[in-house]
Amino acid sequence: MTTSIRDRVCIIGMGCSRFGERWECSTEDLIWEAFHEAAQAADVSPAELKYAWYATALEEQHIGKSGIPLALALRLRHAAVGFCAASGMEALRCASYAVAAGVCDIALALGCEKLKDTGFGGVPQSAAWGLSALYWPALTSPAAFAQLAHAYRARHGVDESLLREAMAYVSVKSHANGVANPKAHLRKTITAEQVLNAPPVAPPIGLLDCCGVSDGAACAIVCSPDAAKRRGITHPVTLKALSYAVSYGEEAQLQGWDGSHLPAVRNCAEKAYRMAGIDEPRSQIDLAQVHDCFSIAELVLLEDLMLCEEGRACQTVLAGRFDNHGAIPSQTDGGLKCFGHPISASGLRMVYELYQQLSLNAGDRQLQRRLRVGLAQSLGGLPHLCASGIAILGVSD
Amino acid sequence: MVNITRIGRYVPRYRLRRSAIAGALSGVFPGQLEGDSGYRAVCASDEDATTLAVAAALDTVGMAGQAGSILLGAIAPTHSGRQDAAIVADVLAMASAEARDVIGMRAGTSALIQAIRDAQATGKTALALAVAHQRPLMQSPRALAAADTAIGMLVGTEPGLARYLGSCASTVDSPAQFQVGDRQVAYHWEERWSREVSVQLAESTVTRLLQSLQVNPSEIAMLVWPVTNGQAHRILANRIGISSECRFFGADVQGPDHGIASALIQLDHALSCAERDEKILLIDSGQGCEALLFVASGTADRPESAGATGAADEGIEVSYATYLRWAGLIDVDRGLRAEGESLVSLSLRHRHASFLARLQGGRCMHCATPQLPMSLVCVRCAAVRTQVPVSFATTTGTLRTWSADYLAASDAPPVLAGLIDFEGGGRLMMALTDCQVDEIHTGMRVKPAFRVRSRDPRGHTQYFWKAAPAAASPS
Repeated sequence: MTTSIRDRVCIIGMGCSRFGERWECSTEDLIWEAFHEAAQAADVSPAELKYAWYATALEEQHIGKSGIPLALALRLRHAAVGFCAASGMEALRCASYAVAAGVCDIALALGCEKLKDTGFGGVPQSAAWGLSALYWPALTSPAAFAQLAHAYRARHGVDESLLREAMAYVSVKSHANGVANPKAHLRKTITAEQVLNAPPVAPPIGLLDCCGVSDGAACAIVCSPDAAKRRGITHPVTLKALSYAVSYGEEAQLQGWDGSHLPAVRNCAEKAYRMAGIDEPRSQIDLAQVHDCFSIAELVLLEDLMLCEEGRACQTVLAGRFDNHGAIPSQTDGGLKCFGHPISASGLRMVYELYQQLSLNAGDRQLQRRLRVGLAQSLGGLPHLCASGIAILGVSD
Repeated sequence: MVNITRIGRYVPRYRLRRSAIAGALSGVFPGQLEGDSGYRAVCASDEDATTLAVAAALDTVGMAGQAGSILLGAIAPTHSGRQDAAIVADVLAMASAEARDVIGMRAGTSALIQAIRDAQATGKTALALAVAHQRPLMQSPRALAAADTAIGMLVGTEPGLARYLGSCASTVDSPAQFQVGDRQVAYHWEERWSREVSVQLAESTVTRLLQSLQVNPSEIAMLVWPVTNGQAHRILANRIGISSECRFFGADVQGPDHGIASALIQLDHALSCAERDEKILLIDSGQGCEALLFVASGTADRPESAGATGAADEGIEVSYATYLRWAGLIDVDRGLRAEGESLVSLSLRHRHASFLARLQGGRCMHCATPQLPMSLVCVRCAAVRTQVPVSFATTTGTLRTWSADYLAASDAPPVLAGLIDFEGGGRLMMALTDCQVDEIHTGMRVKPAFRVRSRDPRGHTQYFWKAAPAAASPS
């Protein structure tokens, strides 16, 4: 008989480096910065770690992607260090499964990315040796998400000005939240007018509809409930669900999908809610962090996560439902938009914000309300071929 | 007996106004273009001689066509050491064809003669292609007239548009046009001297040809000869004794200059209006002279060239600065992002050649779902190893979603791309080409076009298929 991960893994410490243009830092520095915060909170030393997972999209050692950069940075002499591709959320899943399986008491999940050494804006194109390098049109991430915007408008008959207004609202909101976050990359308020008049990147996506491309690292130290109890933690933050879903080609190769939503995310959300025992996400989720790589993504993802009515994201966002004073505050730390998007650190950064809010440690941006359940959703790839991970966290009574 | 059995043509969609060139090069062409509304067709940034040749070959024989040999004529090789004709053979799935490039100032005509000789020797059909991918330097006199195009002629023993009677050649080293590295050089000498030399060579060559075939000059009904001096035809006709009733082709020196493709294009024009049994003399000059004699079959059953619709299309106008950038005639800083491009993996390319070169996908025999690329497991029914090859290269499609990308590195920003749903099933994210942002819309009809995808740091050009508006792209 299968069992859920629900309440079988606790998070006892999390860390997150300051995101941004960290010209002075190497990957090793960023890893240490995030790990140091988590280790202090959890009172764990590197020597105690027997299992660790590392996530990165671009590695610095030139030996191929592996857990080696993490083992080198923390000198994890005795730990089995796994590798989890470009997803901090996936590193968390591996570490949590190891704890839930009883393989270890404590495990580390860490994601890190050093993007600012490329010398140009945007995320670098993917590796060159696959078949896609020989036929993929040279379009970038914003262009792929611009297609999502066109298709969303077409499906729901959304007026262009309404969509642009809602997209601008999303960006303005994230900038306002980013100002209150000392670790955020972009800490400056902006106006809707600035968003609407920004240079086009891939219309309707303009420069201020795009997330920050940042250096950064984030991590989580997880353990079993028994191990948490032994450490004197009485009301730990626990994982209620960890789910993952990927495209298998239906969107990219068959003609049914109209490009207006992300089926993999819907699939992922259904699994996560089932795992967490959530029947009505709109009333049971208190806080959400979604993969707002572009403002249109936030709008569509809120629908795919069933946090707002399908086709009504623009109106719902503009009504303030996802503001800090609204029903489901989202991107309370500035989101990918302003906290920044060091690819493999982003999933864990979202969980970090949930953890801080649920632990009442969010400082100036602490939400003044009772928070029981938070959701973090990360995305890899592009709308027509994507992978989605969801973590749902809660506080044990 | 060998005949020209089919003719195909390709004309790029972009147009460069002659007056725009003159305007950009103020003072270079004084008084030549007042009130001029003429234009020349030019390649898009993702076109080169190879893609022009592929488009003309497809217009001539289609994806299902076969030929014993492919002869591709061009002023210079596109990729030294890598034959254009072999790339055409790869795209047309003619693996057993003999593919050869023919280089030189009269390469189009030479390719046709070689094709005719191949057909005579083997009894199989042979495809001759003449490609004009012209990039005249700024301020060159050719800058005003040089147009890009390609033409294909299929020859064989079956009845056709014209019967080949014979040919004769002369060789003299007097180059008027050549290429040094990437630079196309016009070396036209004083015009009346050039005309006189050309006429003298043509006179001796044609005389030998007619004598060998025992044809009286008065029997020539059409004289096809691309020249740079409008009097040349009349002078030659008078000297040889060609009738004053003879119709001249290629004498319009104000029209577009199709480079080495001119002779075959003018022959095509002549054939389109030739009466049955009329004799057509084709002359092509350059480092000597080539003369060929044909007898027309009449035009009644002439198949319509889809490529010709490209010529009639109004096209998309580009500025001279854009053209210079696209043609590689000026240096451009494409940005750091562009330099992330890496080497093309030849083993990978070879493994997936049917997809990359021919846009071949699979159709599941179990559930009949077409899919791109072909895969081991069906995307719809998950049946294993049930897919049979199916080509999408000539299948039209509909644009489902699209975007204009100003961030991506490109010679022609914005990069346009979209999800294409093919008629009958199958979907692929493809780059869009030959269109402007303001004409793109969801639901737009498109068809595949073989284009340059990228050039790696060592100069290897990777080709793939893009989606072009269906109305503007030849089949």
